[in-house]
Amino acid sequence: MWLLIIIFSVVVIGLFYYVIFLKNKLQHLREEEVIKTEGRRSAFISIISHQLRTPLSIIKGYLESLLAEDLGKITTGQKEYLSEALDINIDTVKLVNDYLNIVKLDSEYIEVDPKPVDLVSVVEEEVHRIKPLAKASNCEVVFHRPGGPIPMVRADLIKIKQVVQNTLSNAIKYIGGHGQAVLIVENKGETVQFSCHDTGVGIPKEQQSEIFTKFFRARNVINKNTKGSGLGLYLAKMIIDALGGKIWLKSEENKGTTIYFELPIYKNGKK
Amino acid sequence: MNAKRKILLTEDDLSLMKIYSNKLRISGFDVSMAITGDEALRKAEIELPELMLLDLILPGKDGFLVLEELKKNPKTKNIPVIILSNLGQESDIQKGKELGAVDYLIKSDVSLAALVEKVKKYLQP
Repeated sequence: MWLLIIIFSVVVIGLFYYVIFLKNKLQHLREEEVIKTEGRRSAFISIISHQLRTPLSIIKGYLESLLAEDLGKITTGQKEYLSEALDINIDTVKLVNDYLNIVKLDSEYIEVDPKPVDLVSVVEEEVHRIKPLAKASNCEVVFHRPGGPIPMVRADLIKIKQVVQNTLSNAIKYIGGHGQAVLIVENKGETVQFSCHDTGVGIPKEQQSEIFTKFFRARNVINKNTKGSGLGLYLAKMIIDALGGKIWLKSEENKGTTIYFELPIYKNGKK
Repeated sequence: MNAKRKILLTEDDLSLMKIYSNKLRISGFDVSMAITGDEALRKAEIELPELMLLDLILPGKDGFLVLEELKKNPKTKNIPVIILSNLGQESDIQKGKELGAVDYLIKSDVSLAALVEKVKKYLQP
């Protein structure tokens, strides 16, 4: 009898460890598969980056050299044609960058590296960067600096820059000429809120719920401005969600749009 | 007249080589050129440029390997290196900076004027 109990116990314990062993092995195989997939994705992105960006860089370099009159004087007409070609080149580079980001982010979640970030400096830097584009479109970008101190937010510097950049370039694009984009950063206690208001074409009410989806383009701009990829705000939402924040909008057709996002303030030691 | 400051440009695409070298020369720099990683290492050691612009995808030794060897060599380790590449994944940027590059520029995103500004910024006075 005792012998049977001992044999039974040994078998049960043996089975228990075998199940654990199988579970670990499966987990290991899964992890290996994820690493392999990530490796393939990364290699694919590198190849595409190189193959698509190189010809675009060459065309850009030649156009910029000609426009800077490094090879001799050009006429006003030539300047106009070359500037237009350069604008198209820059837009195409942006599209390629958006597509590459989508390939990078085409997983269940997006990886972020949250650290304390000064959102006011990020906005100032991005406003400074976009000024030439705004000026070229006759549009004014105003950043109302906050009166009091703004705490650091929990964010990923590179990715949050991208969100501000996408929001701001959308504002300028959809103002489509004379108009204004107003940016505000506010302390909301537990969070810091960013808003970007534009005096642009607005988004039709029935389409507002789709604005953060992949490849969305509003019906009132799709025929007017075909340069957008429909990925900018989709990416913005993915990034803000991954950082534990919130992104939303208010918009009225022919009056303008305000994009808001808020991010939790950075607390030491809190992940 | 002040001597022109020497930049070593490593680029295997001949069109880009022409574009960048021409712009840098017009902007007042003395530009030396290398097409492969080995050539870049050799020229860096012999010519001791004041700054290097380094592509990553190169025939033979890639840019990362070149950077690693430059930083190991006492003669070349203090030359500021700006990576100028069309690879732009965060892992590439991080690796470049960890290996000692002072900056990482993506060719399709940076204008020629901005490139010249960066070169001026990192040239020691």
